[in-house]
Amino acid sequence: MGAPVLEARDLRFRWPRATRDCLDIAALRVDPGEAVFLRGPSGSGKSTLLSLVAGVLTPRAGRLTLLGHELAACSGRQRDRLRADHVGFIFQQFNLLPYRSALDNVLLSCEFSRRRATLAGRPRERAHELLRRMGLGTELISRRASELSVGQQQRVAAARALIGHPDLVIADEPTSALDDAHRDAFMAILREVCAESGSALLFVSHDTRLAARFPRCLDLPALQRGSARVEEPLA
Amino acid sequence: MKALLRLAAQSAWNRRFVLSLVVLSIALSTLLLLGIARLRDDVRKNFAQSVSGTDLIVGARTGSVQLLLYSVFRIGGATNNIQWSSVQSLARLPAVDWVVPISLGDSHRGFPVVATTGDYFRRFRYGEAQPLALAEGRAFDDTPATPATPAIPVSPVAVATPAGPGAPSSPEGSRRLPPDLFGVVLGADVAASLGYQLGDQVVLSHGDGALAANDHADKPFHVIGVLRRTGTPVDRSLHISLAAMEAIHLDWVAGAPIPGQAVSLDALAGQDLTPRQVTAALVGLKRRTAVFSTQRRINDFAGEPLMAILPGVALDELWDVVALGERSLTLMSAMVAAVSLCGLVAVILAGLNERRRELAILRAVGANPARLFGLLAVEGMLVTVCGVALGAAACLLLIAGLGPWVQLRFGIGLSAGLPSLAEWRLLGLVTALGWVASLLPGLRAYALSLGDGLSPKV
Repeated sequence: MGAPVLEARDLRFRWPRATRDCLDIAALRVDPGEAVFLRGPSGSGKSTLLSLVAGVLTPRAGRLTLLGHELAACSGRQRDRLRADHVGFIFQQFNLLPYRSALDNVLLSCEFSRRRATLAGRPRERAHELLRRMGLGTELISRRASELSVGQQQRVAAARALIGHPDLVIADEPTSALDDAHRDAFMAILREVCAESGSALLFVSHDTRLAARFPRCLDLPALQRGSARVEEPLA
Repeated sequence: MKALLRLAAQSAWNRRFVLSLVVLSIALSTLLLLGIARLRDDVRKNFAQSVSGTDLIVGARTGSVQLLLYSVFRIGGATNNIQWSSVQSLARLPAVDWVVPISLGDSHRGFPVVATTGDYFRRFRYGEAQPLALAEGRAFDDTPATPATPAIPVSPVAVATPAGPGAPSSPEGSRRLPPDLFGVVLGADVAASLGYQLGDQVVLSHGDGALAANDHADKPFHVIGVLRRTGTPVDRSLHISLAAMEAIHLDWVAGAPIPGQAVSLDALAGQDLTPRQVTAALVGLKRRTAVFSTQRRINDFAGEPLMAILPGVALDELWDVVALGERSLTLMSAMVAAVSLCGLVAVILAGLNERRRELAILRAVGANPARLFGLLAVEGMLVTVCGVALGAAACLLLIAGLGPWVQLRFGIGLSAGLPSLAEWRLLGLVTALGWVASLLPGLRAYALSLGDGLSPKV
């Protein structure tokens, strides 16, 4: 294994006007091509952690490196560039610009990153191919995102995250709006395409049933220390 | 950048309903601002063009603005008349080239009646020293063709005294009425809005025509000529001869007919129709350099208190009076524009909360906050430019469409031409302010996209 895609050490973050840390993580590491399941109940700081990794938020203390770049040392512009070039995101819902077609939503990644446009080869064809593999027919591809079902939207979002061989794909509860059958198909294709393009996958969810699909599972509450540690509600 | 513009266009198209309202409100305020500026300039131009080539205007002592207003613009009334003998004295001043007396006070269906001499049609100038021209018919001519007479006839009408043997002082001994005594020459707007043609009968009203009984129905006029449009108050005037003015008032005293004293048309031939008084006189000089000395001589006139004004100087004084109203009008339209720009900011800000998800998606794919700020700035700019362009176009179309009606109804000639330099500046200012106003939502978007992380708290 080479240098880690993502590495956090003594990472602390506090929201403005909050009295205690929301995140306090001793160590977290994701290696290239690795698929990691990060489990955490809602409110455990998952989304905050992802915003930190994305470079959209900056930590209060500690180190956070993305592909060897210390994020805190980067300028805002450099962090934006890192994210555009190397990270693909899939959110829980509302992933797409409703006024763009499915295809144009996928191509959004390439519009903001020349690197990913280059790596995708011919972006339009690559987008078509990814969407087809995600199970979206030709007829759906040119449809406006707002006219797609939630399941179809999530698959378009996955295609957008995966186009142009990102080093890291971050999925934040992408399956919570899907039914069981769709969820399984979605998970399978996501893992498959990530493996193909050599992208590491950081999959965040509260749903422990999905953990079995991942070689490595982390528990966010267990990673936290000190005041950021919250007691888990009894099941 | 191209991708960003395309994105801005797609996003804006998605919100086209709200944005079109914003465009509309900017268009309306532009329409208002530009319309008021255009109206103001055109009114000024109209006023400035109303009189030309007249060196002095002489009337009874009053304010110079008032004299200008009633003698040229037919606005307000004269407090006092000047004696006919004074007019004759004026004409004899060495520097004076010509004198055109005018007598005001009557009206016809809201249009002022101007009694004057035939010289009016030859001497009066407007705009860039343009003479009056007839569109059809003829002007009345009351100047006796005697070479010895000065430019202003001592007695404008050849009918002087009762007929019969031993008539005291009838120069030509003539007893006939001039053929055009009851002829009226119409301004272009009068003819157009009342639909009068040559030969039509016109009954004048005494004063402003407010009292129905106060008319001169016993002595009807007929249209002998229609003037070409000038864009000045001449268009809204009916012109009759001084003799006719005298004739219709022979049996009147102090603004009412004398009961039992009606002078029939047939009896007119025996009456002296030389005017006793006129309202004002337009004076042309042989040399313009004599204007101040002549003005002084007239102001010091021994016969009665007279006053001579320079039309240009009086116009400047008028602007000083009008400027206050103009300024408040400008201020008001500026406030309307400011309010609609506030509306623009409010609409974009309100829409911003709904767009937080959109901004988060764009951040996730790598857009930096500066780009999002740019996105909103571009949108604000486009919306403002569209609004201003729409407003300016609407304003010009409206002026082109309503111009003829405004000309007829209010006598203000509006020009529907392309914006002037000052108007371009105004449009530029509105655009710049609109753009600056649209930066506020941009700044808010910047702050939101920094504070929200990747998952907006909506």
